[in-house]
Amino acid sequence: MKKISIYILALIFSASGCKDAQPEPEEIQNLVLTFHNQFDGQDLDFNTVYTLASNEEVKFGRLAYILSEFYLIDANGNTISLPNQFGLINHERGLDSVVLTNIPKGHYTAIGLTLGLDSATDHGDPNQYPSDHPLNTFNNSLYWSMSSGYIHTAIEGSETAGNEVFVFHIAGSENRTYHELSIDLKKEYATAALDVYYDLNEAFQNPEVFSLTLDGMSTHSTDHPLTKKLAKNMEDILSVK
Amino acid sequence: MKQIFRYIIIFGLLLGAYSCMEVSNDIPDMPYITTPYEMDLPPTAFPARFPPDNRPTVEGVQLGRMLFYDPILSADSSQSCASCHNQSFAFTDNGKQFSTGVEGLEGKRNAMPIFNLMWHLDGFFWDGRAELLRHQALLPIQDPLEMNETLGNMLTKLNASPRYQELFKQAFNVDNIDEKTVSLALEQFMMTIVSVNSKFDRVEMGLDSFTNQEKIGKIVFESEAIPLSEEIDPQNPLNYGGDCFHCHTTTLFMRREFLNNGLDETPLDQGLGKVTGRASDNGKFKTPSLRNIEVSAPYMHDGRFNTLEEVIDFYLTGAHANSPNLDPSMHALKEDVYLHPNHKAALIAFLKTLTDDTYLNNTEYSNPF
Repeated sequence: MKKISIYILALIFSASGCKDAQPEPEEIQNLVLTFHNQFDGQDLDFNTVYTLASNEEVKFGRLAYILSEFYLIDANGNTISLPNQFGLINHERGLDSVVLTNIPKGHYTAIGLTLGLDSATDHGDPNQYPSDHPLNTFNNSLYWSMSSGYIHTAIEGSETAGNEVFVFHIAGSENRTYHELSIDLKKEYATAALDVYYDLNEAFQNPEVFSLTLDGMSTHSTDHPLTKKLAKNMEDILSVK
Repeated sequence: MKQIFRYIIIFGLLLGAYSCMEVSNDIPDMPYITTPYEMDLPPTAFPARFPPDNRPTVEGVQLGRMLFYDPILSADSSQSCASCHNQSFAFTDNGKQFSTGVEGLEGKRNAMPIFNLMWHLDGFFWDGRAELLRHQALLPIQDPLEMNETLGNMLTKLNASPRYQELFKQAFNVDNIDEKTVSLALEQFMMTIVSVNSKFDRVEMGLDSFTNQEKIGKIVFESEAIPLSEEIDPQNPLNYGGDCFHCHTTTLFMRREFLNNGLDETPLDQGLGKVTGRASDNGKFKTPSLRNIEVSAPYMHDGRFNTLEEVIDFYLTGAHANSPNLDPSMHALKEDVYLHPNHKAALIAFLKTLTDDTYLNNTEYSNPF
């Protein structure tokens, strides 16, 4: 009887051995940020005429921006840095989300991110990134070869009265803006989601009213007063509702 | 009884062990082994980008090369792809404005160059009507203005060729040649044609240096244009921008977007707009790379300019401000802009540093017949 028991145990072991050959997949830990581009609280539409705080009427034709330096703060006040993760938002192309990886389950009370790049990344080798990477310069069309750095925000469009185009390219790590947004995210599952709102109207009104006529129709310089004004106005451009 | 039970257990053990083994019931077939195509790219280039379902192999690339140069693909077997895409002219049509097809009819747009296509992201042809290179590859074969052949006839000819049967078997392990494998072979060959060793590249890598004139030309290329209406001081060298970099950017010297550069106030050819049906795309065309621009005249989608001087003069004084969907990057160039003759010459000298003799003479891209 004892021998039979051994045989039965061996049989069970033999059958279960197959299962051991298949390793358990590791659980993916993601946080998907969806960016909702808006103008004054309404979904941004490139065919709609908007009135700026300066009373100028405009249509937008391009909105693209680069995000970096993500971090989370948990309920205990611990900061979870997420280095080397980047995002590219392009309204025309429908790129509206960033998938952050390696996010542990937990209770988070704030998320931080930067509109723009740190200096080292900004001036790093632009050819190192594969085609689908947010920092691939052909993918994002946000690069200044003359200064070997990225445009972190491109806002383009036309002023409808005179049909004059405006081109605002904000670049330079000194013009990046830091954002820390309060959230109440209890991440209990592998993948969680968060909606972030980007209100383009803020760039033209908060805290200073921006006038196309008075301030200018284009900037491609990192130290131009127009650049500084737009960058300052972008400090409150993001929100979580 | 005990003995019988023991045999049952031993049989179960063997069965359990057997079920864990990967045993194929397939009848052994002829080996299908392809050789991965190795590509050595310099640091000035982006990482290679191949579609996961059509990574180039030595066999596939060689097959695609043969198809590219074989006139059997045209209706009367008189023209190959290479008839209008000559390597010496950066795979454009020998300086012609429009190419002539097998029926003696002229095309409507200028033949595009072929290089660095694996990095293109938003469609092929001047109007972007082909999403992928494999889609692009079959269209000129069927175009009545070009090779004017049906895919059915083409496949009949290829399947009747023992040589092609063997090559397709080696590259794709198929017994019957179909349009998909033809398109994949052509895609593989065209993906491997790269231009990454111009003087510009060598300077970027520290292996060469620009002349003073080329250096000035690079500054002009990368500087913003200032309209004459802004009462500029013509003596100030900072006012000599050509404003080229907005649309011809990255080491590919192009942008992925389709743009309207203001060639016509009322474009007769709507380009991307005709493909998408969107008025907001009217007048937009693929932004071409400036690499090998020296050898790929004439210029623009309709080949209207014969020289680089004509192109520069257009951008300085000829762009139409009221052209529909004019790209905002043209905000300065839509007005009259001044460029000193010396700086114009310097700009052209810089553009000529984008000529890549390694690519133009690479025997891996040449006629295999």
